[in-house]
Amino acid sequence: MRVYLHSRTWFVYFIMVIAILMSIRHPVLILIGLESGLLWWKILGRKLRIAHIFAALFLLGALAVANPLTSSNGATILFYLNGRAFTAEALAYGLLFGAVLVVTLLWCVILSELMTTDRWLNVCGRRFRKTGLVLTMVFRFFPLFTKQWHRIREGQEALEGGSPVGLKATFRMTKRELLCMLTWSLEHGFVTADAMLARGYGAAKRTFFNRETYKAASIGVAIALLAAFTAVITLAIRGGMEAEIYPYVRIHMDGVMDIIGFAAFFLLCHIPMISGKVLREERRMRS
Amino acid sequence: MIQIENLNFTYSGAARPSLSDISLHIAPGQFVLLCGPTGCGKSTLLRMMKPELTPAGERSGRILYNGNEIAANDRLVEVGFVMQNPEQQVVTDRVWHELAFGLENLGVPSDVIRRRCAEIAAYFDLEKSFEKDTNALSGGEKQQLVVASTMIMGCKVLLLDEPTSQLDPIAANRFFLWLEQLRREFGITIVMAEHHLEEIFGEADRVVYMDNGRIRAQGTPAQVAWEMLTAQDTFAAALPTVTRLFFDANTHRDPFVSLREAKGSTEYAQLVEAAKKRLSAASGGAVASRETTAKREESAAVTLSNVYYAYDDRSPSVLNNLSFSIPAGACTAIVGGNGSGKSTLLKVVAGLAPLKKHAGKVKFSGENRADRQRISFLMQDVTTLFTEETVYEEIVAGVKAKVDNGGEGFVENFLKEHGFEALTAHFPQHPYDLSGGEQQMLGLTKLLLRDPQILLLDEPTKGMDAVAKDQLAALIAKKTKEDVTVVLVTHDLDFAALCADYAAMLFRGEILSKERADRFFADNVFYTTHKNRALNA
Repeated sequence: MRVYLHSRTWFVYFIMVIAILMSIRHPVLILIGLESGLLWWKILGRKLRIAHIFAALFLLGALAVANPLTSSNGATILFYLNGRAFTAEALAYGLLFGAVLVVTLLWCVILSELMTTDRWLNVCGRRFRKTGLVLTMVFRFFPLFTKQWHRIREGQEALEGGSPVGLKATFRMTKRELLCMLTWSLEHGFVTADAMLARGYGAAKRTFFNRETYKAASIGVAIALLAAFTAVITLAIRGGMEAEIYPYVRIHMDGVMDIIGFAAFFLLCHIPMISGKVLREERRMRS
Repeated sequence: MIQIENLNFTYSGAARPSLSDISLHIAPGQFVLLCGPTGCGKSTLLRMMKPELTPAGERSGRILYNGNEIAANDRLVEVGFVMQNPEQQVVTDRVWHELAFGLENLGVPSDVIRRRCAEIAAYFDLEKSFEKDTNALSGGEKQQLVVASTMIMGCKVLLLDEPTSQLDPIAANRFFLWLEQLRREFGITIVMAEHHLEEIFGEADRVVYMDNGRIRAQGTPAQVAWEMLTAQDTFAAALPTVTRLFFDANTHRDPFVSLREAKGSTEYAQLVEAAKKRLSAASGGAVASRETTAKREESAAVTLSNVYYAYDDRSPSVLNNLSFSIPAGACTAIVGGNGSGKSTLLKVVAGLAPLKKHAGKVKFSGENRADRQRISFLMQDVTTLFTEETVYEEIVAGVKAKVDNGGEGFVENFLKEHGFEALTAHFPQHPYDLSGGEQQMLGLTKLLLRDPQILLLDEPTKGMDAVAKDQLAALIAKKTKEDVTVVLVTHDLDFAALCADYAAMLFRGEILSKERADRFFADNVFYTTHKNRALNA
């Protein structure tokens, strides 16, 4: 049997994970987010390049240094810079903030990979069917637009014997390309409008065709995700998984509430990965 | 099924009518072919039969569908309409959604859409690409998808407006075969406007030949061919090779409309002999000129050695250890299947696809060396060159100094010299309003005004009718005489045979053979011209 998760289940999954990462900034949660994010990365067949790691480290480093330069909160003063205190706590805060950003970005990449265009459409659903149609046309038009722009650039370079040299020539060339794109877009729009008319657009009230139905598996997963999310949030509100930075860095991670919270978040991140059938379906869709 | 009575139509604001006195009867299940030169009114006539797309203008006469008169703003879902460019007709981003689009418009419930999509995908063999992005399909596949998503709405008549003009000949033939199957299995009525008649002419039940907004002849293919040939119409050049080759005005026999028919005839052997005699008498001069170019084989304008090319690290290489020299002052045709690397080869020569250090060399000889200004490349989509509002501005753009120095009437003379004087009449029009063939002419004019020493042409005959093709062939001959090196990449083997001095076959990124064009096409059994196919008994 083919097992797939409903688009809304996927959507809610990403929203929950990213919301927790961004609201409860706790090192252990970030590590869990990093681990599961990388696992998805691997499952989706993406390669981890050195450039990715460098980019992440750069972001982390930049934020870690930038925060103490602008904020002097914290009790442990490391040294003074231009009369301002450079504190260990501000450095830790910058590091934590950088780590949250890096992991959130990682999850956004995975979101964009797993939330295929038709999934976005299903999230929009019956209620927003006009938005859905506009969305699907944008999804179609955008790659076409970039492809055409590339073609126009090639065509113009082939005509002029190479890419323009100098700022003025580049400006002129870009202006020409833009004009060319404008005419092309208009022309494209007219023909597409005719093609839509020819296929009965505007004849009746549109229906929304959704290929997905809620299967038991999808509902089960959605309930499990929701339960895990509620657990994490409730525990956090009741004081679990606390990471105080100012005035002293104090990270709580050994209380019962903390450990249950970590486990719940770990489950939340990993639930859609547990079923081999779900993963197989994802791979099949991508092949 | 469709009855047209005394139809006249004038576009609003136009001085002359686009359709005059058209009367036509289309029976259910018929395949009707509308043919005629560019601008003869065939597209307008098709749009008259699909009320949603009927243009604004003044109309008189009647159009009846199943006995009911149709007015300009009616809706006729049973009549499907397919246009030229598949790229622009695909509305959504997924194959399944494209199929569902029409049914969604009609307000069909989701369950029914689900079943019909499955049904049509299974029939049209779209199961594998069902989830695919529509951008990932080839031109031919996209056009099939457009037809499938029209058929899903339960249409009984299919109107097709030059559906293959954006496809290469191989994809075009596949599309025609597929359409024929559709007609056989569903008895659907097909009305197709087309100017590329080679494969399709003999298949039609009825041919309607239009010129200047009027029907000049209609009847069976053989009848219409007879009328066109005896009247020595210029458009007769578009008729299938076999029809023209074996036609003899003295015998009052119906012309052959397909190769199968000709080969089945008892007189076939005599006909071949007669045709060969006529051809050799006519081409005495051409053979001599081929001999002279062959002597210059030694000098190469461009030499490619051990070239490898891949678009990025992950994709396989398109050109594989390719070594090839392009003879100077001659026309070299490069032929080969889809994806064999033909367009990439041109891009490498033009410098648009820069080679990495270890990936081979491209060397220009003599005065062409490193002189990128003098290579001109006409890409497949010629509209990428158009940036101006009118045809005249488009021609002058970028070469203003040259035009000003040339004095009065420079552009007109230049066009006349190159056989493009037809463009003069279109000076105030927008470049997008020209026909496919005229757009190619405009693009070529832009390139030629820059005095190229090397002219690279990628599928230049796409969308051209037979008359325009002949003009282009004459232009290539003229340019090679002026010592311009021409490289022609094409699927159109008849055209390649007509104007190339050399022909090379590209297969899986390698040049397999380069020979003189006449020998090349005479030796090939499958990859050869229609003429050779007809004459090889």
